[in-house]
Amino acid sequence: MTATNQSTSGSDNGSVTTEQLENELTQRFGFAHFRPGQAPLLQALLSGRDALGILPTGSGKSLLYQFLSPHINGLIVVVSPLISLMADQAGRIRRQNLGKVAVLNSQLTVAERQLVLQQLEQYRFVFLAPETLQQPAVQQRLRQITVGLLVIDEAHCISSWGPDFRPSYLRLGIIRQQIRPQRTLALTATANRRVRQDILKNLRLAATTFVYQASVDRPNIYLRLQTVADETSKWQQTLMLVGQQVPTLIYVATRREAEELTQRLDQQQPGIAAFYHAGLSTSERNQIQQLFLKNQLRVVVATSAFGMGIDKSNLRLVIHYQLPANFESYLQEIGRAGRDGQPALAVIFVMASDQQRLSQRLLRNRLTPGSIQRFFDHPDDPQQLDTNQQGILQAYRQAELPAAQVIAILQTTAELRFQQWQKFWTYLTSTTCLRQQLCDYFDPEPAQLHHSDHCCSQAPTPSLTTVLARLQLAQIASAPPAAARHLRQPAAVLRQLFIES
Amino acid sequence: MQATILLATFALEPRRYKAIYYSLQGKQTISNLFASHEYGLLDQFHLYPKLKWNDYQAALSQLEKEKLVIIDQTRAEAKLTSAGLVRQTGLLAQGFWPTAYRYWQMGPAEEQWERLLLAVQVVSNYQHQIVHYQPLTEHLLIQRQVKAWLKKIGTAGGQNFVLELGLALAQLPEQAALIIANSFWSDYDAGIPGPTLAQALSLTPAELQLAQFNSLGLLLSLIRRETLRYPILQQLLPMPQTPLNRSADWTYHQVLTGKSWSAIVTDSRLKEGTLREHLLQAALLCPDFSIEAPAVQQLLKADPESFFSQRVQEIITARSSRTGGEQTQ
Ligand SMILES: [Zn+2]
Repeated sequence: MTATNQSTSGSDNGSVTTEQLENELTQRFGFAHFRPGQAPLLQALLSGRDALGILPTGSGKSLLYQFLSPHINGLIVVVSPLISLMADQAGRIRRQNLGKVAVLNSQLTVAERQLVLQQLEQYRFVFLAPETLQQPAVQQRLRQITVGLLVIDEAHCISSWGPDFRPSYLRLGIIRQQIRPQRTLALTATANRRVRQDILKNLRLAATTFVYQASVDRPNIYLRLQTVADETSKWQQTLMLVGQQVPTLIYVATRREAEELTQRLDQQQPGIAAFYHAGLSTSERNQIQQLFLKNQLRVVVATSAFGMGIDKSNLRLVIHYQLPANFESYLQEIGRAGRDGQPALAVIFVMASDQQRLSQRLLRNRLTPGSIQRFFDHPDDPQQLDTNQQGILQAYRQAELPAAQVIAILQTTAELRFQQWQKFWTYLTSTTCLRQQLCDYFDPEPAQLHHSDHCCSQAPTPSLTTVLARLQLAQIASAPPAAARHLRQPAAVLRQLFIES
Repeated sequence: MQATILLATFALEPRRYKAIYYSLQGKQTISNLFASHEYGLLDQFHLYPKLKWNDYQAALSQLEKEKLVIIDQTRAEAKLTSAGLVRQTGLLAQGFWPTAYRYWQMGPAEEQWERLLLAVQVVSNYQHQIVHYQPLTEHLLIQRQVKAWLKKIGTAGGQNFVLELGLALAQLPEQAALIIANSFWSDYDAGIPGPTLAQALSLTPAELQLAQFNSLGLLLSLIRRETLRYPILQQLLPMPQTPLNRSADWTYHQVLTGKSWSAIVTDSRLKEGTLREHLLQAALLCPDFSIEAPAVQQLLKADPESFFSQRVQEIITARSSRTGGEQTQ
């Protein structure tokens, strides 16, 4: 049931032994052992090779560049597509005191961005959005200094075959060649064979690149498909799950749903839940992370992009209150659970009406050849396009692709999206082992798994109550009762925050 | 954005909705300033610097859909319906609309707020030996300012900061003190999350933000009024010396020295129209604008019917009628 190591190219380890690396791991990070994939990837990078790591969420991808930091000269540049994740990762590096960190994204003012660029040599790590990396001033600055390691996070976004294709990733290959990093590390949680080829090709990585692909299987996460007839029963079952009193992350589709669900949970049990989405300021998000880490909040209700930023290793329960966008998102999102290796539960709610609703959403978001052509003819007049669609077309235009080619690409990817969605729906309505299906879908050489009572199940049998009784989540990590969340008097707040003289 | 918040910016008389958008966003043109003045929104100037036109429009059409405003597309105006007025009154009665925060005197609200919260986080962490952490704001300039402030006040300063905070919170109206104190958090004491605080106050998160700005406005007025009691808070939360930009400030300063208009025109090498605009800005934004200054009087007497004279008169009249009910500083 462990990871399959698939090194597709090159000789194996460099000069550093795994034992030496583990000693350092223990000294610097306090862990006794590496997670699957970490050691071989580190060995490859330390010997100067480029590498692609396909590691499941929660397998410690950020440890790789944190570990390498003292071993390489020059700046570590991390390209990451999600602003919220960048801030969270930067925060982790700061808390661990690994060096000076800068986050360069659209949230900074022009003056602040210039300041960071001017003093770039002083930083150890810089986190960048792919869009920021497109700016000539940023590229120029990176060409002037030594980049010791370029990390491309969420590298599957570079492939139009992947469900999360981002046109802003298209030029990363050219930019990489221009800034000449000493090493490149591409990371992703999910990549089938096609996507893997695209990553290597589009990033212009050499044939000697070291590739490690781990199995997506996470045996400690119990998978549960929960088909429900209507919203009422979904809500009642959620209450039962939340009643387990364990650290819980609930994914919903929109900000509004996050707020509404939080409010309903709060009415049941004041102070246990908070929502977490793009509408909150950095300060508010940081604060909620703190409270969650300190077990002063038991439930966080998040939109999918932001839930990925939640960093709590003892999450016992992940609930998909609404369906994620696709199979890949689902896999990544459940990966937040049980990162401490202890048993955890991932429940996804499915309603019959979801199928039609989501199929229609896919069709609605589809760009027609006419609207693509119109955009290329009149890029300043966005017509009926939403900001997301505008962003996609804008990026293609900047990549200087002709309209006809973009129409062809987008048609193919739209069909692909639809097929991918149908495969996900098959999973959501299936009756066979869920874990096996995940491995079959994502792993290059899926292993035959042994299904057991502690593996997965679909409603109605066994019942959710039976599953919960079997798992005994509360016994592993029962969160202490959340602190009462009523307002405190100003003087009491100050006494709590500060030491009295 | 939360659509209903926009209700606070409209009235039964039609208003130009673009001007309101630019005002909230903080676009400084003279026509915008006049519109903000006319609508009583000068203090709330720059309240939403990141507001996008699309979001604003969406909020406005939502209000239209709910029959709270009527939009006249051809005139680019909007006005409250009587239902809208009822909602507006209810909304304002909740007390979150930031009437106490004066942008021109206090500077950008969000920056001041982040300075205050960051200072609390930094000092609390420092006292509990928490050295490595994520600062609560990503804004580098604010991080630097707070760092410089901390260096200046020294280690003992942290303790005095806490004392000043305690004193100020005790002096503020109860609600404002509660809102400010319960917004504080550090890595030692994580406080209560914003959304929970909002709920405890029966506000939405968007309304809470405005309530926080309003409370901050009261705090800033207090520390400006009682300079001697709050030296450390004043250093942390510096307020602009003048609401005017550099060139307008220069012009107004010349006027205050008693120079004649023609002398100012000669010295400045700017167009007369530009200089008059500077003075209009001063009239709009400086609560103590000196209408008695010789250069101003010269301009008013030279042509009482001119655009300049008319506007200055309007501003002064509006101000004197308002000071009856409201305190100035
Ligand atoms: Zn199974």
